[in-house]
Amino acid sequence: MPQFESLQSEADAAIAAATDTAELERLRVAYLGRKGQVTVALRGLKDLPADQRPEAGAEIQAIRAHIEQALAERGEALAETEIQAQVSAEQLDVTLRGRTLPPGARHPTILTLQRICNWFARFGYGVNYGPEIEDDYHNFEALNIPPQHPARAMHDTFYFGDGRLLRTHTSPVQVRTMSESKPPIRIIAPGRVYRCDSDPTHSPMFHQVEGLCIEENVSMADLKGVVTAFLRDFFEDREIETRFRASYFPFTEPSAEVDVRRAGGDWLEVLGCGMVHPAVLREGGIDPERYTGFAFGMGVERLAMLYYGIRDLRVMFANDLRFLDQFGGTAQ
Amino acid sequence: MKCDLNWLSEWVAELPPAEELAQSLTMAGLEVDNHHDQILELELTPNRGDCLSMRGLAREVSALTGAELQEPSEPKISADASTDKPGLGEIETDACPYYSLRLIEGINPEAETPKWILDRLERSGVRAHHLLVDVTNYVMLELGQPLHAFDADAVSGDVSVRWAQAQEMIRALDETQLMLDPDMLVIAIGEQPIAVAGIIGGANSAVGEQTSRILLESAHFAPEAIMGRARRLKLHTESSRRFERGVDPRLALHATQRATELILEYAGGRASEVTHAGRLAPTFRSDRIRLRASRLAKCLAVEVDGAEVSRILRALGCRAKQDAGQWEVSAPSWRFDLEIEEDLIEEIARVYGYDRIEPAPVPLPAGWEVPPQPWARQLEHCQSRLMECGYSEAVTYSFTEDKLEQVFAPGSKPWRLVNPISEDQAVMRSTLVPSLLRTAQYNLNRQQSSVRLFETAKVFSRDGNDVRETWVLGGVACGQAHPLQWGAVARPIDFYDVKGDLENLLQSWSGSLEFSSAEHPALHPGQTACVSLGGRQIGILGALHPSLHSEFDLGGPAFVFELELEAWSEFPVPHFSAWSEYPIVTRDLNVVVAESTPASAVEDCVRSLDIEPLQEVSVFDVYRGEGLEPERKSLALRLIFQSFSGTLKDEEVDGYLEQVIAHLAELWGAETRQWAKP
Repeated sequence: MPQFESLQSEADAAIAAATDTAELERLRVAYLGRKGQVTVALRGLKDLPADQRPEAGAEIQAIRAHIEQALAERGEALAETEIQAQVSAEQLDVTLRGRTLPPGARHPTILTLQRICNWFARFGYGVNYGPEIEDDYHNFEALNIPPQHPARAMHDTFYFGDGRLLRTHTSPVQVRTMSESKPPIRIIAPGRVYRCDSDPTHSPMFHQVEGLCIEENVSMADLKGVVTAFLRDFFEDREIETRFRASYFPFTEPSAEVDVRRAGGDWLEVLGCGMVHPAVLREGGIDPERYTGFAFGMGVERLAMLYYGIRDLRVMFANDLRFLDQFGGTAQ
Repeated sequence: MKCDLNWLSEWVAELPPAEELAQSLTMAGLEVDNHHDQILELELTPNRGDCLSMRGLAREVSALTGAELQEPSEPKISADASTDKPGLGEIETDACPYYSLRLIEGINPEAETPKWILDRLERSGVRAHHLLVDVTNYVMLELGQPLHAFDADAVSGDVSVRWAQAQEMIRALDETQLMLDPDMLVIAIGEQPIAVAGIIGGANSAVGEQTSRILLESAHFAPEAIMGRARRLKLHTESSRRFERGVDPRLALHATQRATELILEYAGGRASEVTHAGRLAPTFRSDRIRLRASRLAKCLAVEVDGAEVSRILRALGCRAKQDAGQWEVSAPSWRFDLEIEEDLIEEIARVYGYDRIEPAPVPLPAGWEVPPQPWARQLEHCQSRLMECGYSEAVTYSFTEDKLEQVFAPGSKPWRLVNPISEDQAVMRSTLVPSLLRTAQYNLNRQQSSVRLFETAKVFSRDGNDVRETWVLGGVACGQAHPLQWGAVARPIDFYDVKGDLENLLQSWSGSLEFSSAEHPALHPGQTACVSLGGRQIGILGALHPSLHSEFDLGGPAFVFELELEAWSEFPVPHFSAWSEYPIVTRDLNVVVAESTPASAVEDCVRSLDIEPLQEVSVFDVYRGEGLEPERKSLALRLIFQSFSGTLKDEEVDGYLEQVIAHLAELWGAETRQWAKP
């Protein structure tokens, strides 16, 4: 049956000659579609004598299968070629910069403040802010610093002339907390403090975090425990050494300064602390025979500078983007 | 305070090496800053006035190290019977419990200070003058008692110790004129003051190169009578430093004898009897302090052996009687800082060693809850959200220039400092914006192409006579919208960039966010919006007024915002709501309205129809110009419909659009045309 043979060879040639998948689809319709040549040939079987039909039918079916397979094979090859062509047309210069609005950066002081607050929150220390414009009573007298006390020389105070002043430390929050709540008390007081002092190592404004814990049976061992654990975690250094030296603050007794030393380094003073002075407890309406407490205070800029290796205090207040940008990717 | 260890070694047998000594002193509260050439540089706390002398340090070292103290005894001076005793007038004995004078005459004015005294003065950081002054300084360093020598030829009459008259004037040794207050004690002859007691001598009675007769003053002034006065006079003398911290009230006579001994030895002369008023204090202070072993153990959480406690107390010069778990303690005359039980506990602890107290594990909170702190969450949300929008966090001073404060808050009466560091830091700010603009200026001057900054801080205002402190979040943005990059068109930051940042920041909070046209004296009258959340005004956003550009020299517009943080701290827990799975139908309209019609009014007009399936309406483009009348603009409005009950049919949506078009025409005179259906 030569007409069927030529059908197959024509189809083979056309499929091999097709250059894209669209062309191939046209060929599929031309041979196998409802009006396609193979379909028409199959329909023509009914016109053949009955004895020829089985043989011719089988032949056409074989041709049909052959074409289907040829189309599929050619289709796969062409699709592959086309993807290759697309890919090679879509080459990018991956070294060009990504399109972005770069994120800003957190201030190292505020990051440090929040790290401190977050640490103490785990141990039940709530946050009290307290006012920044204070009065003499809360900033000094209630903290056992009477008007002429030599300790006032350590606090160069900004005054408003009406008895008000800018708090020189966050310790007044101790007094406010005691008068507003009853033990057990665990709070920290982060915030801005002010000293009338400006030179390369002193800023007229800086940040402190005060801590206060008042309960029954709180001892210096508890104070040492909290401070030691905090400093170890703050500096992320299990090997860090801490030492507690005797010191003097009018509102704590005994008082201590705490130094830390990292491997190979010098002792660095990082915070002051002590057991709350009974006069301060009494002033806050708390019975010092029943309750004891400890307090601690730290300079946030100082801790931030030690943590990030910043040498110059002034950069902490200049807000130079070349400085701030260095803390862009800093996680909490 | 410098401590010469060669000198100290005369007072303490077997002094430990400098390094070791520095360490023990530091740990015990006498911080040694550094040591070199057998000199310790000590930083003494104000409670330890007793250590401002060789004698005091020797006692402390002996108590801390157990080394034996070798205290010289009081020198015996035989008075010259022919030399008249000085006369004393009225003495304020409460403020000055002991006052003494001795006349020494026939002093050789040519006599030189011996080298060993000069050496010790120098190693102690005290400048040499001439023998009489050098000796008084030397005795002060040795024993801790400030002495004063008056030129006896300049002083005639009885010497009294009295309170100063208001505004009484005295010319001090250093030639400064001092105006005194009535709570300052003076040494006087009648009306004439010759010294400010315990602080500084007068020029009129000062000893000099020719002096051959002196009145040697040795007194005890109560700390309360001296404290704070020197500071008020802007003076800081070795004498006031000691008296205001407390000088041993037993010491005055001993010091007179020691100084006399040295003067007679090196400059000759005859000494009178000592004239005195009042009494030297007894060895121990009169108050008994009870120290309970139980209290000690409770405070320190260590059991210090009773014998050890007694030993420490006695080593510190206390008298301590142990009885049934407690001690009756009398502090020595020189320890002004030992008054209550806790003072003694501190003494025990620091001598015993703070390092011997074991840190306790940190207890978790028990029995009470940490109050929730939505405020902290809000703060951290704002900070991290703004950071993601490209803003960096600033920390600027809370005080600012009055001039700028008046520009940004005209008529406000800011809290003004009496003693500012400088005029540009004289008032407490009521807004963060000027500080942030200054910071932007600082950065632009350093060649930054764009600056975005924010700060969270308190601002200060008046509420009647009270202070109002308010937490605010302020921001500034200026310069280029993006860093120069290949894929984006360079353009400056504009109003809508910053508005978008605020929308990002505020959309998570309860209540609908609205921006409405507003005015502010420092902001551009056409580019300022009041920000409201849930109907409550929370802040302002706007462009800096062009008239202020030169003040900040920003080289282009700057956009600023300030939000009151406590006005919107309610951060709701997200409440789940279901969505519809039926398809969305989107239709776009061109709405031509008058230029003055706010975009939000057009959106609100559509929303007010309460079309149930209308999910969203928003202006997505604005066109002005060709094809439109002047003063008209065309807003492209996208409406998104979706039903919860079924697939919307085109006819339904067309019906809604007819309503919308009619309503816009009615309310805003809008001509509206539908875009080809997508």
